[in-house]
Amino acid sequence: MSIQLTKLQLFLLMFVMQTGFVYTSFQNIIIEHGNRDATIQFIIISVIFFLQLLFFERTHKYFVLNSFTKTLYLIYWSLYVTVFVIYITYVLTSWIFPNTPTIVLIAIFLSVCFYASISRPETAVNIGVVLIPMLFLFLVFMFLTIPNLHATNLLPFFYDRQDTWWMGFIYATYAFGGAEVFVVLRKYLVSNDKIPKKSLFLYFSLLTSFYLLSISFSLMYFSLEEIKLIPEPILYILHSVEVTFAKRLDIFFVYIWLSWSLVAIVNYALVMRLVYFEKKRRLPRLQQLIFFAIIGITANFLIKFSVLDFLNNYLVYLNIIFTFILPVLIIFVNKIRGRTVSELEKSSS
Amino acid sequence: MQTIIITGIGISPRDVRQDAELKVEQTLDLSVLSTVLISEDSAKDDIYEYLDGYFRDPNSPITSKLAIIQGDLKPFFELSEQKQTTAGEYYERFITSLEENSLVIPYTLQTACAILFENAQDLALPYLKMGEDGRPVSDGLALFSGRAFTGSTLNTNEGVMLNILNNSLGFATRISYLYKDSPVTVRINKTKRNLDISENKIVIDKKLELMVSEYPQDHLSDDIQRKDLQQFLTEKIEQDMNEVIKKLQEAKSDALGLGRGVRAFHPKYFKKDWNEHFSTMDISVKLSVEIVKTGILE
Repeated sequence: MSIQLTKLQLFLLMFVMQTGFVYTSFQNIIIEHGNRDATIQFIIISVIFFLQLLFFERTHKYFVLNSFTKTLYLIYWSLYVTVFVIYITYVLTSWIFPNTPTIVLIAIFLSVCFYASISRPETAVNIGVVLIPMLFLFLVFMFLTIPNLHATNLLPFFYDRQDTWWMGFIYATYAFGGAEVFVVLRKYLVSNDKIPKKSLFLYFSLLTSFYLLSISFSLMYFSLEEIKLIPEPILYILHSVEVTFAKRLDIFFVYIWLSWSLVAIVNYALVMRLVYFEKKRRLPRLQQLIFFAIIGITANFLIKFSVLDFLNNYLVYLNIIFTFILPVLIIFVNKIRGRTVSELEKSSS
Repeated sequence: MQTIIITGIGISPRDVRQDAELKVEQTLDLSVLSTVLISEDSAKDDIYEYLDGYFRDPNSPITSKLAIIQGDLKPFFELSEQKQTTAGEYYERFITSLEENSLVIPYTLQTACAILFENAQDLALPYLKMGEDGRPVSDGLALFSGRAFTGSTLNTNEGVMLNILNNSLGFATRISYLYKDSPVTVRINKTKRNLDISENKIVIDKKLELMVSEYPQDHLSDDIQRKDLQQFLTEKIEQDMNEVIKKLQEAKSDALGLGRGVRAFHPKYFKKDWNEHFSTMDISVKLSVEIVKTGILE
């Protein structure tokens, strides 16, 4: 299976996958450790992400997955999607559907993902476009909270550090999980020319500003002690916004975020399809059905506060390995061995 | 419309609701909660104990208003039986109107909760009492220190001063004085606040732009007369503001959030027990007033 992507499509896919389910939840864990330095910690990590993007762009031709690394990535992405599903279902049952059986919710939204996944790959590539107007709406709603923000909450920097302060840097990497798909998808670009630094910088600025807005708004809206109690600060902020056209703005946003997360799952499934079905395999639809069924059943057993808390604390380490460390290792090893994507394609043809 | 008041007993607000539900054929729906009234006796303990359930339940609208009640709560709810409205809606409109006139600081359940968890600012909630004619009356602001009501209150005029000092002006903020045996009423047009902070001293540098709403002596186009009035207003307002600060310090209640500025820009002067430190600091207001509008008369 193969596809052709434009630069814009590549960045859209990455944006949805990198913001997907993390966007509503990661602010409180950074702030819990980094306190008022959370914004600075996030900016430092975002610069590392930008340098990594530049590195990926220069060396992407050496990112060749062998069967071992392919299996590792497929397991990691499957785990990541399972965590997505657990978290989405937990949020839906907490905020909107407390009485609906979790298996029903999972079945409904995973069947949508399955349908999108067995459609033409272009469906998964372009479906993210529908989110763009919703994200603008979301930003407008967020700006309604400005009168209740306390800018002084952002200061002082580097003052009341606690023992786990450095963990803020670790958890800031949550925002950039999924960066590895850049090197996975890079070879599918229509014209295999260099992506200009300007485009990479634009993407980095957009993603960083989008996340920075959520961290700084959370810091300015809540007191430090309060935010530690609030697992979904963005939803909570919208829950407290009063508008005349809707009783609960948070429900409106939960639906936006749900569609956003579903598109992220569809995009992850697309990346997995591209890696897994690179070789022709039998019964691809059945295999995908089994994949989504396993994800759904596993997730349904794990929807518990304690499981989510554990995942929230430790998933980040897998993120760092598969997003930052492993791609760099793979690139170095292949560079030493002289293996490139184009050579692999020649040998397979 | 007929309103029935149901009472319940329990160890927490949720438990009280459950007890009340035993007496009606319906389930009480929190999604239409518009006001939470807390008696002053209850508020003298940690009020978060009573509010946690509202924040935890996604169906609970955390934009509801909050007020402290003098005396027994029951007569405040009996109002529903006399009026074509529920007590919750009535108090929501009542508190909104107080906010619009800058008599109380606008807080919702959520913004009040953020202050309860904040050690650099304290709450000042609307304080209501029952008037002699059986109508609820605003009696100013109930001052909190940490999460508990101190028992100290600001009267309505002091409430206006607090709002001006806090830059939390409503739709209309008016102050009236007697000047040369004649009334003068001014409306605050614009306000600015700068803090001059040192280790044990804060000077609140306040600038006000005023619009004259009432001044039967007229002739404000006369420079001498206008400057004399400005001087009078500066002295009176500054004096009133300093009295409010003194009351806040006595109550150990930093309702202005001066601690936020100290913590952000002079963290070495910020103490963990901020309320105690705040009460011992030398805090004063330095005011400058300018009349920028005189209405449609001069």
